[in-house]
Amino acid sequence: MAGAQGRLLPPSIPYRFFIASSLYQILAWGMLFFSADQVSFFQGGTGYVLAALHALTLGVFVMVAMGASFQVLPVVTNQSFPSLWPVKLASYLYIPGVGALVAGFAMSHDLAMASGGALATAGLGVYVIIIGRLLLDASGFKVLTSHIWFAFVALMALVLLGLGMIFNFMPTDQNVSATAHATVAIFGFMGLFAMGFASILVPMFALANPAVEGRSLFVMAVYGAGLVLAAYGALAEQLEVFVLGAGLLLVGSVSHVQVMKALLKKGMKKKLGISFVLIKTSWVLFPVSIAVGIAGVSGIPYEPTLLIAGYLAVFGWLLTFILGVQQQIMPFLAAMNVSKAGGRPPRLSQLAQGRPLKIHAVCHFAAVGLLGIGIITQLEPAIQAGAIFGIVGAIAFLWFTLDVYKRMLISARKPSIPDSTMPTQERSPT
Amino acid sequence: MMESSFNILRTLHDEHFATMALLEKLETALSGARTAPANDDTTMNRLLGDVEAVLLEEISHHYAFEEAHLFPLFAEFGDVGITQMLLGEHQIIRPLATELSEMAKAGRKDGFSPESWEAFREKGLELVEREVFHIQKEEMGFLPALDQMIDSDQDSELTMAYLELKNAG
Repeated sequence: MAGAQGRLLPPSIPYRFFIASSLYQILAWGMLFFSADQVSFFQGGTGYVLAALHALTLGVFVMVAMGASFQVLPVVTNQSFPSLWPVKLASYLYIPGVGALVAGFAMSHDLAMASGGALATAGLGVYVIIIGRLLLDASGFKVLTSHIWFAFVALMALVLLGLGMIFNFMPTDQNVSATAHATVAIFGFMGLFAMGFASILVPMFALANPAVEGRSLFVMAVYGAGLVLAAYGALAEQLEVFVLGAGLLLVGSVSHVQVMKALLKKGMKKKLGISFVLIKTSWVLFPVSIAVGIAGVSGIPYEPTLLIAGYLAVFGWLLTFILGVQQQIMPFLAAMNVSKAGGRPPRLSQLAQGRPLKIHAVCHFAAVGLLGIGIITQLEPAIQAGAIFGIVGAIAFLWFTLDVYKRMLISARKPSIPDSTMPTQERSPT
Repeated sequence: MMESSFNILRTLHDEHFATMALLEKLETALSGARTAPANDDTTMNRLLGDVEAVLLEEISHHYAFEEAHLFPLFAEFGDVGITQMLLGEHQIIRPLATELSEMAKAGRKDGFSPESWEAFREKGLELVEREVFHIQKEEMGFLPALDQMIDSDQDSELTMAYLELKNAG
């Protein structure tokens, strides 16, 4: 946070990603509602279910990761962006690109898929260059930066696999490519990002010492090795290699959760609020999703097991984790922006009201639970009910996001403390 | 948050820890008690005594030391913006903590009326919120950055200066 005030971006930049992510979440749940009859039988292929999945993965997870990393990484690594136009360019390419891609998937429209895929890929490319340059000059934060570099490698792989499927240049079968793409996207790019950000944000929220660097890097190495093996096993259609990789992913995920639990236990701040109910739930479902996935590929005689594993990973782990983290960082960053603007330092509760978050939490858990019941029982009304709860929860989250933004702008206009004079700039005799 | 090799930073961190422990207790006590406690409520009286003592320490010594020694040092090597933000927070928290400390002292002596308890609750919860957020910023940014800025000679000088400040009362 040294020099943080000089490194804070104009709030409109991170918030465009945050607001877009809430809109894409509403869209995702909406599409699930209208495709409720197909959800339990989803095995890939274009349509509303695939569109909803990408509205969540690209529209929510990656969107929040971009907004948060543009804002948080310069602050924590003590680096500045030389210029803001590439950051804005990334948003101009990525945010509408995801929309076109999702629309293309929903309507099976080749041109929309191709143009959306190209725009989103270009946006991600700009993002990787911006963040890559920032990380190259950063010292320290080895755990975070290692996770991000690894995530970027996974991103390259998943984009290639994704474009390969859209433009039909993959030598493998579509289902094989899709399995590898999903594994690398969920457990690679997004998973590594979630783990890396947790390494700095959880200690910050809980006021805890960061985990021992060597242990975190070892966990990442185990998890990363598992990811590489699982992706290779999926592409080469070698089940044993895939299972071995997934087993290492499971060990890595359990170790990561243990590290996080230990951090919270030692943290100075014990009352962590609703956000940590979401975050802790996501940590339970992270390894569970992998374990269910292993059961699914190992021949358990229950057909929807793999679909359930995907559901647990996407909705139970990633979506729940990201929404928990997002609701913590938005008011925190807003408060810093108010101070930067010279406003009176606000109380966090003045920037973030609790009601939308309570509504969101209740609706989110109801939505995820009902969706799970719907998938397992193949009951369309349960999926539709889950989707309705999801829509209401996502609207509550959008309300929260817009409200924080509005309150931040109002607080920034309030006068600062009149006698706010700095002590002498000269070093005092000690 | 950090594990520093410098005495002065460890001392400040330990004080943050003590303050956080008190704030957690205070928040729990105030959130759950809408009516004034009885005069002979020993748990509450002990808490009020802690509030008085810890807040006094946090304000009079910790803040004063940071403002006199660490903020200028930080501003020289780092960013003035961060110290202005922290100073701005000191200027809001300091009178709030002084007032709360006095209210705690009076409450321990004469008990609380419904009105004085409501005022104490309101001020207390505001202080908890502001001070926790303030400590969060110092622990995550300010102290780790200072850890990169000072050397062992400066550490000794700063430690001595802090001791003198505390001994001077």
